Amino acid sequence: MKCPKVKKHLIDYLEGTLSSKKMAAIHLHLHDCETCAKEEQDLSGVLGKVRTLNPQDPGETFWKEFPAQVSAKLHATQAGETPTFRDRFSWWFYPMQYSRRWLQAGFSVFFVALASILVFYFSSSSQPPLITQREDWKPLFLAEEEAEEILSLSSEEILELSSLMVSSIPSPESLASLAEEELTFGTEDFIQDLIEDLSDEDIDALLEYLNEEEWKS
Amino acid sequence: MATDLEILNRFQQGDTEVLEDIVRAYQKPLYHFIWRFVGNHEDAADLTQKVFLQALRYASSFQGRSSVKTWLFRIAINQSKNFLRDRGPLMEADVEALSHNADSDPISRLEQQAERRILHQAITRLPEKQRCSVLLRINEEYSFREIGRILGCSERSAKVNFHHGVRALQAILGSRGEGVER
Repeated sequence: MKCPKVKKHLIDYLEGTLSSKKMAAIHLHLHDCETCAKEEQDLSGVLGKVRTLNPQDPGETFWKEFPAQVSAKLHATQAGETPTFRDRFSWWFYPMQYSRRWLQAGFSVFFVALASILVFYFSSSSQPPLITQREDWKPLFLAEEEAEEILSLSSEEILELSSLMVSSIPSPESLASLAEEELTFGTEDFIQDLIEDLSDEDIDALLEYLNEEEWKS
Repeated sequence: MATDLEILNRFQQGDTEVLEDIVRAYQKPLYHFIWRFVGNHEDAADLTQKVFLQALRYASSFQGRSSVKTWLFRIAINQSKNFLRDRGPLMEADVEALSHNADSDPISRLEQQAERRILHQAITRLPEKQRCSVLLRINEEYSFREIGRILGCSERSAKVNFHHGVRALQAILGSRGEGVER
């Protein structure tokens, strides 16, 4: 083993954490190399000095009384001492100790954000579907085949056709005027025929316009 | 025999009798560790008390993923770091009451005291992670995995910090002309 490699492993050698093969190789090298042996002595001295860096023992009395002092201080604190700013926000100052609380806060923020996104998504997608997507939609006054043909049209074509249809359908005002005229001058048969030709929606609109409850019968 | 976690759970549930058991079990290693940071008995005793108070007050935050001792050392490092930041750099006069051989003569005892003051100051000059790694490894005999847990870093990083710390101490003591004896 060469000097750079020995120097690299000297601390591990002094700790005894290397494999027995490496330990033996370094041991042999230190026997032959004065520079590395001096380095090993220096490092060993540093480790030894740090190991002996101990305070003078405060004495058995101190250790016997210490738990009771901590206990008294804790009870005094719990009994109503005003907690310091650091105590109150200790989870902020010592995040590693409060990792569970930080994790809970993270999950809460995540779920609130997720809920907000879902609410926004569903509220925006709850608009009424396009006319061609409505299965129950049937154009008024049209036969089944014609209705199906209309459903296969594009949106622009449906809009154009609708405007044409609207202009050709009699308005409730004109129907009421006609009915009033027939009431005055015509027969009941004409009125009966007229009602049979109308859709339920048109009858409702007509009744609402005339505001006469007797027409319902 | 109840485990540390069971003792903490009992304390959380209102059994204050176990409090003194916890303190008695860890007071000495914590005091010694903190003393190596702050260098005098009064501050070390005060900070050791604060470590227990904080740990017991916020015992609910302990999740049992590490040992109670590891958890307490982590709090001790935070407390010592805050203390040193508030107090400022360590003065030579702050280092006191170092242990010594009772049978040594007064002159060699003085020499030992001076030598250890220099060593203590050299340790306080190390970057925080290197200092903690050196003290936890040499004095508390923690594995690098446990040191990594305490310092919030990987096992590899703890080992690198330890090696750099020892080399830095060797350089500081060498530059002071201190003859380091085996």
